[in-house]
Amino acid sequence: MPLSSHRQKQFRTLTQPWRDRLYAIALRQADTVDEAEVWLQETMLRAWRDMDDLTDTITTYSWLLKILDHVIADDRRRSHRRRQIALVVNVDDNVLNRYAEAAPGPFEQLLQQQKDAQLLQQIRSLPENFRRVVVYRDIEGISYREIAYILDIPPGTVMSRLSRGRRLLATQLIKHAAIDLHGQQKKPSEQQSP
Amino acid sequence: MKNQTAETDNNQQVKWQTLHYQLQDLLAGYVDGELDKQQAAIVEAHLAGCKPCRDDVQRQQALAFRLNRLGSQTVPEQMNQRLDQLMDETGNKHHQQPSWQSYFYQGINRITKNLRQLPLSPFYASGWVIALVLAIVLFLPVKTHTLVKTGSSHIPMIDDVLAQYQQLSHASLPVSDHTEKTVLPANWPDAHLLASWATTVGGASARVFAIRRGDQVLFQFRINEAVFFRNATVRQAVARRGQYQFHHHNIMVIAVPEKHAGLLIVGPTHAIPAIQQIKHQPGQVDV
Repeated sequence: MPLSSHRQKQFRTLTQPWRDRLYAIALRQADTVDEAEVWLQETMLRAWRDMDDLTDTITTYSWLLKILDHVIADDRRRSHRRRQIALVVNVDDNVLNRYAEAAPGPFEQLLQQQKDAQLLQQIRSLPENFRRVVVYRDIEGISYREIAYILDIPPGTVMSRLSRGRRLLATQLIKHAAIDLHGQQKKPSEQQSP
Repeated sequence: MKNQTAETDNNQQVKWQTLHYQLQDLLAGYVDGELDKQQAAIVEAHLAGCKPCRDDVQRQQALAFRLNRLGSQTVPEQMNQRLDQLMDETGNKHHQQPSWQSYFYQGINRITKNLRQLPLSPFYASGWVIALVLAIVLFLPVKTHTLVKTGSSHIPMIDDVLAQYQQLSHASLPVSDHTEKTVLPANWPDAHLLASWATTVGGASARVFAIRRGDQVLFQFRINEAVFFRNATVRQAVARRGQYQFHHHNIMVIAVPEKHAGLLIVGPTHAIPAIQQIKHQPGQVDV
């Protein structure tokens, strides 16, 4: 067997099982399906180019995710779409306490009522640094250590970004739900009806 | 005096508030069990007196649980083909066939690189003897079943199917809902479908197929794709060898990926057919 085709076969065996998952992650961050496809294609090309970097200490999936993460970051940088990084995100407890949906029981109910698409829309609107850790940890189930490797940040930073990202996402969901629920009730016409 | 007390109270309040904000950054780690003992003890002490943080923990738990259950997307078939084509073209265009010399030098580089990473001085003392031994070990062909393990798998899906197998070995099979049209996910010449029913593996819906092979009964579990790929060891084994194997005494579990699903075959080790004998029938978890 020619060496190039042996290498190709090896590459395909290593990467093919992860295509769907990489595509799903790309879709969760892309604005369009086409964009996700371009990212996946670029990821595969870079993976092929850098195949020798894959060592026994890295799982294939983390390695591919790191490449995809760089591809997305590069693309956003090129198109000046890098979303504003919120350096300090502290949601005031008082803000949350104003909403009945913030209590654990109602919040759980709220989550169950949310369609996947609605949740994904809220995730997409998170600041980039928080969105990435939430996607990798909560949707993909990747360990803190692996996320730290993918994003080149210390595990402690993964933890703080995840805490803040989840808190921010919960706040967004609660506020949206409150607007949906109470916004209609507060229509002047309804309030003034005899 | 009153002023002093008020100031002390105020200082306490500021300290508590600062700690409250600092600990908020650890709450994800607390929810995910990633804190060390000391950190966990500090967080727990704070949680006992802080309702907003207790609520935050519960919201994070609910959020993580819900997000983990988001549906997944698969690569459209056309795109898969395009990717295959692209990889073929890229491989043929850019990959120059290395000579045997380049492989030799790569091997030497790898050995020296590995040796340099060893934090030991005995290597330098023993010199080429250890280098030679390590070189032999490094170049030994890797056995296909290097990832075979014994004892508890610590992988929920494997433990689930093992538990169900052991339970079913001592009980009668559940009522089957299979029909003549039921297709076995993995078929081999002397496989006879006995029964099929719905179950759960790794917390998600799955389907079991009981098969007779000679005088042995084996089970196939077609499971959720997300559950199948949840564990890093399984992912790595599948990426490297196309399958993951687990041995527990004389019982064996083989995990093979399918398109949109995963397949686990469990049974006595000697009754599990060779992987070459198995014909896969793709399908999804249909319960």
